[in-house]
Amino acid sequence: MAEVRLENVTRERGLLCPVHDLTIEVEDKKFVALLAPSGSGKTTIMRIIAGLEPVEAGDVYIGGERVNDLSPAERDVALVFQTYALYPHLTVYENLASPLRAVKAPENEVEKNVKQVAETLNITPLLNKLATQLSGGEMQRVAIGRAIIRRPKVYLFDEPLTNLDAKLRVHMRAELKRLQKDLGQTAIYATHDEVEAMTMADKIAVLRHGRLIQYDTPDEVYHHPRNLFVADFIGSPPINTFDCTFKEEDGRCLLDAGEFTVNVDEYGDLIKKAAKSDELILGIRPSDFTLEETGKKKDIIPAVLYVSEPMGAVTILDLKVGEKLVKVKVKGRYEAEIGKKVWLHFNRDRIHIFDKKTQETIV
Amino acid sequence: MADVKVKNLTKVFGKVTAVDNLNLEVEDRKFVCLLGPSGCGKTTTLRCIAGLETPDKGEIYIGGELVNELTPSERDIAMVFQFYALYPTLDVYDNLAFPLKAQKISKSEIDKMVKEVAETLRITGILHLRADQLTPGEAQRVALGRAIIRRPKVYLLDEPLTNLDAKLRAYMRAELKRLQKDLGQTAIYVTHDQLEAMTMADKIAVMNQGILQQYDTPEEIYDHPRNLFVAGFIGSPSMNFMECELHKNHKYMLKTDDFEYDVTEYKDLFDKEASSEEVILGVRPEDIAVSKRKLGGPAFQAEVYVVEPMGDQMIVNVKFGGYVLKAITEYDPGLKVGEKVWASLNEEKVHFIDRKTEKVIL
Repeated sequence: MAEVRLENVTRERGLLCPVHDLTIEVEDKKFVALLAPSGSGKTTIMRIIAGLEPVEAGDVYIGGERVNDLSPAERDVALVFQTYALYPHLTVYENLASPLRAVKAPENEVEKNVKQVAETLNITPLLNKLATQLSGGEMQRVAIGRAIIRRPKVYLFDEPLTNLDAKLRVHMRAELKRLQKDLGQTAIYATHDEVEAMTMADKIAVLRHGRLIQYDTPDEVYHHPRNLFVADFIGSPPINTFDCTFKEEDGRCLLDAGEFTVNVDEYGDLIKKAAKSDELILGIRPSDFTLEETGKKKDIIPAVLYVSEPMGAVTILDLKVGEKLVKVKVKGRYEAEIGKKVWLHFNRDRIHIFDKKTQETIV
Repeated sequence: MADVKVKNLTKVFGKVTAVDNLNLEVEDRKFVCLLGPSGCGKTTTLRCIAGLETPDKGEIYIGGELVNELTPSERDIAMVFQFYALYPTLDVYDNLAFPLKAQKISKSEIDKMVKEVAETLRITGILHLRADQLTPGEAQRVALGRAIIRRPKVYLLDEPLTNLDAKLRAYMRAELKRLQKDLGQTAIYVTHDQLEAMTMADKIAVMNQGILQQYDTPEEIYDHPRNLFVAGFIGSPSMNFMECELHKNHKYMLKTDDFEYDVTEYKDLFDKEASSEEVILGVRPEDIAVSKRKLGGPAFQAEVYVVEPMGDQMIVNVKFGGYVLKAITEYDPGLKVGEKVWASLNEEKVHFIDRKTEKVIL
């Protein structure tokens, strides 16, 4: 049992990236991502859990035990950083063995554990190499190996894949996710990369300026963001937003975005109840549009092709709607001249509506 | 006219051949990306075109003229590194005017050019702001503007977007692509990021270890990579590779320990092109369908290893034999780790690669 609980944790004084009144519970055996732009306090939170940073208020619990007064070593957590921090003059074997040597484990146990961990991480052929002879991906695996060899209660990963090249990052993402499931131990993973958080985590804690904004499954965070910040942060390319005004005409509820108008009868009551004013923001994800040749359908926006970006399996189309640039993701190829007029149809069940003043989600 | 021709270019540094007999023709008004991992020779090639390096062999032509003996400034090119270097205490106007002042152009001419470029980049409204008051997006446009204001014959860009965050990079990609089309001037763009090359270029020159691997449109490179390196380098997640053995009996079969695939219809192709029985089967993630029941075409049973949701789509990692293969599918929350599924390959899109020569057979 090693759930991690932060209750009203505050750490502000003298910090560039403070944490304000944070309450969050990470269930046992779960993989939780702390997702935020850099400078939002992710690393501070990791350091608080590890015991490297004292708190000014609030409590930290690991496995049900209050650990505020315990030293880092007594908390039994392992930290993996962006930089690998291996001993350069030692072999991979000795690097992996070092945490066990530090607790004076018997030699036969050291050997057994090193071999097991090396097997799990596919680094058995590297055991006799010096750390300096390794590639970036190999070093990161050794660093992870060193963290897991002690079988601590909790793993804390602070942007561990950031320094790897794109291909290796995609590969390691899946490996690390599977490894955590196989080990069955709680992991907290700090990242600024929404794709990493989405693909790896059981739950994502989206933070901003040291405060928790939303804590949900990847599916919930993507489909039901709590506010505009979360909606914009999750998803690539980001959600398209249109400033609009809420109007009632002849008993119909409309969003007037200038270039187009959307009928939102079904959300009318909700909007009237929740909105602070008539000023709203309509949000539509790039994958929730389809292209039409004519403007005959309902829920349609006139647009002009600005540029198209083929990516292989999908194409991103950049279109001008009035003065605004809108990104649309379509399957396969799309060949068209710059300046071509098209129509964007959207699925009304998939739109998001935000309050412009509070930035909170209404629909 | 400002096409760029590189003929038999070789550049050696000590024992390393950075560029090895490169031939490349960049047509007038086209946007060409030099793409490859670090150390592939792409930046050296760009620097030879710019005149910052002297070729050991070969010729460089710009607009039909041999420029080997010309200095960088005589070549009328603009070299753009990362777009950020603005003078923070100068306003946008003076930042834009700076490259012109260095050339002793008259004040009225400078004014005209600054206003023109500001118009193109839609930054007329911020000409009076100081550079350190700009948002990152605005700063980028100004930096772009400063690079293009001289209207040189050719733009040479060296990883200009590398230091930007992911969102801004995605935004600038589209802006830069459109800007190049609007200006209608030749651009050569060096990058290690296959996505940048795919999305922006008219043609991509893929390089590795100093050697040009393929020079084609993004679509051609993606659909018809010429060799194993290009196949693996383009696309994210990468193409899946499985090492197979070709059995030539009355039927032609590609076999692994757990899978066989009837390729008799390609008999002639294999007879002509395959140098041995060792063949790599290559399949892109979007060309693998994952399902509970068996679909048509070549298929095998596999175990769900990891599922990576991405919102509208997901990457399903399936374990099969000693391989973990990545498939991109519609988002399906019902798939569970450890579950047995069928992975079916899209026969129209599979690739066969000769393992010895690394050439793509199909």
